Amino acid sequence: MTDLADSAASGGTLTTPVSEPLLKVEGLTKHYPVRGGFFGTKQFVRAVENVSFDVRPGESLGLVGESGCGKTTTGRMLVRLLESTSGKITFQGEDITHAKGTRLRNLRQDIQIIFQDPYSSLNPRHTVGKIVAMPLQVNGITPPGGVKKRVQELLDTVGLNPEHYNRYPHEFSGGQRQRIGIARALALQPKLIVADEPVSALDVSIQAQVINLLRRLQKDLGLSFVFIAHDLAVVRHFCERIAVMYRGEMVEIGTREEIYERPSHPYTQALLSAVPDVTKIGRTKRIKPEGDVR
Amino acid sequence: MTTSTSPAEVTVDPDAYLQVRDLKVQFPTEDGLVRAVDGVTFSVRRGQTLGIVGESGSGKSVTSMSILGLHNPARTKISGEISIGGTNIVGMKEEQIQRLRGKDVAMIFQDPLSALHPYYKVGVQIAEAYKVHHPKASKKEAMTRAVDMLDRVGIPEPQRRANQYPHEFSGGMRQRAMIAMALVNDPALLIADEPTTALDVTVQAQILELLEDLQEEFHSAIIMITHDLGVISQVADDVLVMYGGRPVETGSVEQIMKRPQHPYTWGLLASVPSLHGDAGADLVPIKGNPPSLINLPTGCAFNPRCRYAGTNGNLSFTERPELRSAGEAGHMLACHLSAENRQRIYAEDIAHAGVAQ
Amino acid sequence: MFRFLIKRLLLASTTLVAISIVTFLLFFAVPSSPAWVMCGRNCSPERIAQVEQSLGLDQPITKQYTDFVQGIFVGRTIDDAGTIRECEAPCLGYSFRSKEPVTDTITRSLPITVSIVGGAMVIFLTVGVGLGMLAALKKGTVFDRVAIGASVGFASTQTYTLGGVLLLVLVYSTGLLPNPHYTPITENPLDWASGMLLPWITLGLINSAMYARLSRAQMIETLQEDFVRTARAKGLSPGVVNRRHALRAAITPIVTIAGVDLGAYLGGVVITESVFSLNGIGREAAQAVTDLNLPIVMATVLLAAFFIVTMNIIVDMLYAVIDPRVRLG
Repeated sequence: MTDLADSAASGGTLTTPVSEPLLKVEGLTKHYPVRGGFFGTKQFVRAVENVSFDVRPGESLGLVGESGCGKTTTGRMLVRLLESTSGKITFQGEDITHAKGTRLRNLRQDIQIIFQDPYSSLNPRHTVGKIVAMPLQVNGITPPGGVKKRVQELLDTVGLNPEHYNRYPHEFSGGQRQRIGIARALALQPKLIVADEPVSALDVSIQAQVINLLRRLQKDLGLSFVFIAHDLAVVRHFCERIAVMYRGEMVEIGTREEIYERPSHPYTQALLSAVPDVTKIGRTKRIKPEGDVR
Repeated sequence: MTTSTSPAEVTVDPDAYLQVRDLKVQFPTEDGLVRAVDGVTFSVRRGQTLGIVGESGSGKSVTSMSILGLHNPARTKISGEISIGGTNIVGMKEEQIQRLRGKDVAMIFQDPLSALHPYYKVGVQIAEAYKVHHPKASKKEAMTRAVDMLDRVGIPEPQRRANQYPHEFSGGMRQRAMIAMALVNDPALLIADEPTTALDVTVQAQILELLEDLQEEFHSAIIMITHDLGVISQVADDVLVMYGGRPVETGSVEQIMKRPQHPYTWGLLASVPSLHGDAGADLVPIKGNPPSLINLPTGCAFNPRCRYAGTNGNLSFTERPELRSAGEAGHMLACHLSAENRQRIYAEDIAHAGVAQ
Repeated sequence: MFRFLIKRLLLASTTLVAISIVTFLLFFAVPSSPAWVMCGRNCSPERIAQVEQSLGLDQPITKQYTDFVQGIFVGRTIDDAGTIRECEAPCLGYSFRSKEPVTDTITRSLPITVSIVGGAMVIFLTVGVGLGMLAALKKGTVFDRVAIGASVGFASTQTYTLGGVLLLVLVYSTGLLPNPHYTPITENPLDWASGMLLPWITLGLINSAMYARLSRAQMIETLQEDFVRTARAKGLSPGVVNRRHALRAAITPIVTIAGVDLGAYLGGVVITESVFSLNGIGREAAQAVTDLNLPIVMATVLLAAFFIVTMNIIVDMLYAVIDPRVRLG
């Protein structure tokens, strides 16, 4: 007890105090200009509008919603693949909204992304070893014991045979390719991983393998996740807190229990009632969202 | 009951509109013979829905394509029997199958954007489907029918919408248009191949509801092909679970979803996360990957991924299990596990994981 | 559509002006004077100066350029060694070699090029595209293999090889065909066709090879599209599926390429014209370059650019007509 109190008091070893969020997003907004009208007057698509949330260390936040709700755009802004129109992103107490150059490169070590499509996100001409080692080389990092050893450790961590170091992506199945993508994301020992639909392109029996792997990594490595998905059951399984997005806006955020057991926003209720329930046979009653026909 | 050539005990409803007996579909390729479907038997009555479940390479889509006779006869070997309303289409001439396609059997596909022709207006495409089978109908009649169908599938302002192109429709509207096109000739059998996989969940619910309403109205038989067990439990009356081109378990939706008997079905149910139950519990995935259809494992095709393979001696590795009764009437199973073992395993290992809880 | 057209026309004219300026500058960057070429080897400096003056080459470049542009829009007067000539708009200059306004050269040679290209195009659009589409429908059969083999063979043949062999066999040895020549179609259509037959076959076959492979690849890809499967699932006959659904989609990119090719070829098919000794635009241009005959060079370069730019606009508009998803703007 005293030990704990002591370590908390002298908490200098922790980069982030436990009470502080790892990632803080305030009023994040993304507008895309589109040309419209005869005179080419500027109009905007409001892809993301005033989205705010935070992610605590070791926490997994789910971002759910239907296509076009802005969840993917939000994810891309977090890893700075997209520049936000306005709003503020704070990572470990530092404003990273417009980080550039060296700062951005350092940031990229701490925040990694996993993509949906395990087929197109890996360079087919590179060996798995090269793909996983790439982030290390780009950042000029030589891990103790050498690059190869580190890569083999990573492959082992994600459940791939370290001996397959010299194979090419096409020699692996979809699930294994997604594991390669995860190993690459882990190479720089990030603190936060943005996972954009990481299992939706996989076969049902393979999805569970990858979800379990991500859960284990989260526990073992203390990783934080922003988990973007359209599958509400998958998100429920993986995330402690969930944000629901609709037409660019965040309509509800809460704990797993709050969202799934006591959803308060009508859209969340409609969304949940639309999911076909495996445990109930026959047609289920659902709540129709407004503007039903889309 | 079926003839003695079919595997023992597999029953085909003699009154069913669609009767498939021991269907085999093979594609000779440079790498070897692909046994895409390797002996499947099932039937669907009018007004009933059969759900076919399986992963990629299970043979579910190939089965549906062969019911429409869509495989190129030059590059495909088909055997067995596909009886549609009493006519066996296996070995039938292309011109004869054409008269069935779109009229007695219609199909809707996964991605309505790529399944509709980008250059033709939606109304024109539906009218074309009507006119093929009603050569005497005038262009105007066909168009009126197309607009009626758009209205029937719940598309607002059908007159205006008929004059638009597919890219001007939203995903859900496009799938509705696809359904309108499939139903324009009142088909007795509708095959839906992953019809909602590309759609958002709220739109999916609307489309599934629409299909059920239309089934009630038109009294058609439906084959619903999907990997989504939630969709199956919502719409299916009977379920066929396929693996490696063969049926591994079949029965009523109650039997398959509530009292599954095959380790692969268990695996599917246990690996799908659910909206209920303990979110903290780990999913129980099926290890390994779906098999190659060129080089299926000997014995039971599922044996490399089955955690119970070998429980019953060496049988799993040497002998291919045939479909046999799983106990209840209509519930069939292809597995070497004994009934006692299955019940014990189900109670101990399966019942608490994933959606099976 | 209207907005698009205005925009594209503006862009096109800018392109043409830029090309004319660059050609002018390049011409003057050459360390040789047209006067030398015209005057011959043993020419006194006085004589060269005289020739330069009559060609207007003693004027500053900017003046020469503005004179040229003025000629196009309002016409100009030209001093040909003391003889004053009126050159009416559109005046592209005066060729001192052939002693005629450039417009005359063009009106004489352009119909030849148009005749060659037009006929060849009919051949490669029917034979080439037709063979390619058929090969795609009969993929893997003997017909497909022979068609593809032949197209690889023709595609790797050069115009002068094929043209030379055809000349040798059909004209010089057997006399089956007359020597290639140009008779205006208005004078004698039959003679026009027989004189053009060899260039048509040569240019047509070589391009057919390329178009056959392109159409085959395009058609094979289209046949695998979901909408073709849908068309079959409707119960349409294979003929209707192939024509109305597959062909319509497969032909779009081919129309685009054919349009751009047409634009490029109308500017002159130098090798074909040379092999068959036909004085089309391409041959005139090539000759003008060796002669340093600036007015002809300018005119042919601008003409070629004009065809390419125009065909590009037409192709883009055609695309919007064929494919409803394309919106111009």
